Amino acid sequence: MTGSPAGPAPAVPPHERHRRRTLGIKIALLLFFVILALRLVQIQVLRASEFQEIARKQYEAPIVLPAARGAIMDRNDKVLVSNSTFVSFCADPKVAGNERDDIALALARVFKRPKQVYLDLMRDPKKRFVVLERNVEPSRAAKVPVAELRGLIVMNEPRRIFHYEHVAGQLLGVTGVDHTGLSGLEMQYDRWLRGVDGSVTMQRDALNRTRASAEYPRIEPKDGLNLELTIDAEYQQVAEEELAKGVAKMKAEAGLVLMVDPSTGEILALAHVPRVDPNNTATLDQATLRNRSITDMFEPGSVFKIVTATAALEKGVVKPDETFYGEKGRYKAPIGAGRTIPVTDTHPLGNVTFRQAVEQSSNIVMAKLSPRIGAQTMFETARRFGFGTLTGIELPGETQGALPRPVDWSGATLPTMAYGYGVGVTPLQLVMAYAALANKGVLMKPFVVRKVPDENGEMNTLVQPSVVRRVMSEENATLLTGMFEGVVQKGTATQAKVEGLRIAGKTGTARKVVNGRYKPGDYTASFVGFFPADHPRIVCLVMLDNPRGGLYFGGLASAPIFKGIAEKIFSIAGKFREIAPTVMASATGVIVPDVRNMKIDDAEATLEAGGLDADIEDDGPIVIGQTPAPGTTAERGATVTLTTVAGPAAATGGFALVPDVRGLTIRRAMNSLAVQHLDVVIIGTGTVVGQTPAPGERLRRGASVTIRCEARQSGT
Amino acid sequence: MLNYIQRHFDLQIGIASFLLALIGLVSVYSATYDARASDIFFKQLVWSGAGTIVVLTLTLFPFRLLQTISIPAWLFSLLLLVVVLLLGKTVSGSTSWFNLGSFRIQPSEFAKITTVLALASYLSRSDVSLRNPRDLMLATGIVLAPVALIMMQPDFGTAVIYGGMAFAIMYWGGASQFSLLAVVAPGAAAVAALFGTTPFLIVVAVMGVLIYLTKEHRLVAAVVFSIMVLVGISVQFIYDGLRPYQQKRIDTFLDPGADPLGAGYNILQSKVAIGSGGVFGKGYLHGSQTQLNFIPEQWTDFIFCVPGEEFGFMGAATVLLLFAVFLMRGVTLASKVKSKYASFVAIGLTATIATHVFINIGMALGLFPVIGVPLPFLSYGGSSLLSNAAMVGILMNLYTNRKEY
Repeated sequence: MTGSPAGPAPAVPPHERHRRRTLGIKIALLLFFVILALRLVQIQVLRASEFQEIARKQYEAPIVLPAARGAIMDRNDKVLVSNSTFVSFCADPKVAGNERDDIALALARVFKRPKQVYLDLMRDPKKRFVVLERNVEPSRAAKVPVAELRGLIVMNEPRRIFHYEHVAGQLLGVTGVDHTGLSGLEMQYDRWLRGVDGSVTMQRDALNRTRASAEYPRIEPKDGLNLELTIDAEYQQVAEEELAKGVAKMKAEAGLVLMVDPSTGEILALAHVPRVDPNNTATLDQATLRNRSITDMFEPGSVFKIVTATAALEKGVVKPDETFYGEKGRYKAPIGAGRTIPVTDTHPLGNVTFRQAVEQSSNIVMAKLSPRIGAQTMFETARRFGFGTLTGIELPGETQGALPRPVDWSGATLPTMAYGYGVGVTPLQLVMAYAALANKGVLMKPFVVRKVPDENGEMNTLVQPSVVRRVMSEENATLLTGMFEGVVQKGTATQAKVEGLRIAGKTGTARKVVNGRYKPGDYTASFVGFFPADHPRIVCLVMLDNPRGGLYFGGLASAPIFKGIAEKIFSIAGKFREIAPTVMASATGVIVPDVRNMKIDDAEATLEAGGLDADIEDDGPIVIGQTPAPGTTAERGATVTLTTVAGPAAATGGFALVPDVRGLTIRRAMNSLAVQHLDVVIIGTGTVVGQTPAPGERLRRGASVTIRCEARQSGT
Repeated sequence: MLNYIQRHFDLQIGIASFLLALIGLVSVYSATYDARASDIFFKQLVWSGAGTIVVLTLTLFPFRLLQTISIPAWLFSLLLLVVVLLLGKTVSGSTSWFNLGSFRIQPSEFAKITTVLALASYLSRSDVSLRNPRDLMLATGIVLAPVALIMMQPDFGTAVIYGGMAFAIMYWGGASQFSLLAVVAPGAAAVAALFGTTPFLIVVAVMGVLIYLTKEHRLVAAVVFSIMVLVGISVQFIYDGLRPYQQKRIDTFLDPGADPLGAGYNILQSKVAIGSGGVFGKGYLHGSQTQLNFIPEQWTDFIFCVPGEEFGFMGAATVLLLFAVFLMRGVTLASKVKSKYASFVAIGLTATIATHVFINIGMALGLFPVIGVPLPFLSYGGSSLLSNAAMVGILMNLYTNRKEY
């Protein structure tokens, strides 16, 4: 252990070598440190901002604060669509460990499914995330003791709730997973409904967990606007129920009902069958989802005679009492160059007046009349009614139909168009044409949204009805309305007749073109009418697609559905009051108006305004009967005796029809009954299996309907 | 009084290592502040206390006795390495741990010290010369025995440390330039081969010229040259034989940007953390990358990111400066001590710590591949901290006994 270095004959002295090596090692060390220091300067000084930017991107987590989507309400502020938070239960089997059994048991108790179902889902302990129950209603989800169960994950998922399920499904439309409107009003008014999302920037760690950070400003979300529709939920529900019944009875493939206020152009109801329930987007198919009242066109058939009759009357080429020969149902209409086309009538007619021809829907008379009208006038009249052009309704997917210009017409076009062939119309165009007639000849622009945002962005501005144009003179409108009243009174649509209600309307039965040819057995059966005929408040179109039940005439297949709808609306007192009758003068005196179901004060005022006295029996608030009967003629100054009914329920004003709530969940049943102003008594839980009184019965508003419920069978 | 302390205790090494350990505690606290690992800081605190005792004990340890037990201690640590292979606990694919109650002990950490002691003890014998091929082989054997056992664990990082340490001791011991080249050349060829054929050929050419310039016997030179070429060529086979995670680490080193979310993640995150710290840092406990746990297990091998991010260039440079003071002092010590044994021990321990520092910080700065090597005094880990304390204690002991032969 000597200090002197060993080894053979060193060239330099030992201490000198030692010194050199010390220096060598120190220089080497220094070199390394200089390299590290330079690197530090490079990344911490020269490239610092670059790395700061990368870091910021990594840890800044912009979180969207979603704006609540606006609700959709009917004209009476009934909420049709709103939002709710549904809950999904998931689990982390790894975290849950031995508590999987407890989780399964807890869920099994609440959701009435076998415990084993959940255990199977959580079987693989390596999985970190399994979904156990999806989209549970919050009230039900609250029954799960979440806090006690380790490994159970609760996820809140906002969901669009369509409170009346399929009611107006096609009109309202659906939203996608990101809550963007995909069809219908949800799509059309997405920009109002959506609102403006807010945001907050959180910090995010490497495991993607976020935490609040005070360094960033928070931008509050601006909720979407509520959409108020012209739709009346009660009318809509009545229309859908009656249509569904009718479609089933007539074995039709599909059907639709459109209800419009003729004086404003407001759409009151828009019903489709088959119905869609936007709550169950998974099962929806695109074809059913489309709003066929504007997207589809069809050959109208006899309902198009409104154009022929208007054209003839406006041009002055026909008098209502002019006589035509009906050719006993078979006629060869000349189409020029010596050629003819066959025209037939379902009801063979002899000599008839023009008025009778309209009432009996004679194709032959219309074809005979058409040369007098001429192609140009026919075309222009159709265009004035709005056929062949977009109505401009604020709904996606409207088609303009097919109205060829006269230059493109063949010789057969004019006579066949006179009874509704060779032209394509949408149901909305058709109902608006009749609305123009009902509105004393003035065509209105249809609309479905009642309010638009004002300059402050609040939904306060009422949409003003807008006149499109005058289609015919008021005199001719009155004249033609009278003829169409005759259609219902004694013509092809007697099935639409409602006691005590003056209805004007027209039937239509059109063969359907399939692959370019008229297909035997395929028909469109339609009826369009309005009431009360003297002061029309509602225009209603009923269309059935391919009724297969043997009855395919509009008068037989669609008119009864119209009747059902009119009757029900007629009987909903609160609503009917709006259809305020005015006392009409007749030659011998005045026609007694129908004041049944009106509040006493309103009824009295109506009678007195028409020069009649009212004698009120009892002191009930609502008129339930009247003498003389409505429609009879009485001397000016005569007394009308009104019988009234007392009772607490009547105080709320009117009657309601019991809807069919069987098969619905309790919540939906309650909604459905609430629409009709009915109370509900619930027995049991789950799905409604029975109800008293039965559907369709008339009850006073505020009365109770008892529903009996049973839990859904487990395992379904 | 101060004079007395200065004469008896190496204050530069003592204070530098104390400050580094302090920065380590501060950094571990920050790194585990919100990583659900708060017990890590307290464990480190306990280890630091134990380390202080180790430093004091070894500083006052009888110098002669230290030399006497060098070879037996080396043999004992070899035994431990064998036992750990048979009974040890496997962590991250490496069987290198003993469980001692709730603490884990890594024998390879202590084998580093005993190997330095044994090598110093052997080389300080008057009849031993590194210029003598037989002695050189034996000295190499002292290093290779633990390295072989550690490679079987396998622990690539620790094995690299032995290489750095052995090279420094051989240089210090006066090994010929040729034998140093013989050690370095195959390694350089291997690394170059990983980068491609052209770098490989350049390195082979340069090394060939250097070997030629040493004027070593033609035959021996040819053998060394051949070994270098063979090693370079067989690198691909060795690479294929590596475990996938090791292959990935090498790939990542060669091209860190290739897989930023996978194997390159650590390097990228570490650079982002240090780089985003800027000149003055983001403030203690306010480093976004550290506090949001972007660097996995940061408190072990990537602890340098904490001072780098939270105290910026100032913090990182301070750490470098303290290490520079420590290491320079170690080399000075090696040249000052009278005992040849002490001189070898000083240079060996200093080189060991230097290798750790350069590999670890180089790795954190993206200059070196990610191989699991802790940063002395700063990284969390009981075995590492205790073995570092032991090194400090021995170095201080050497200073205290610098006049001894």
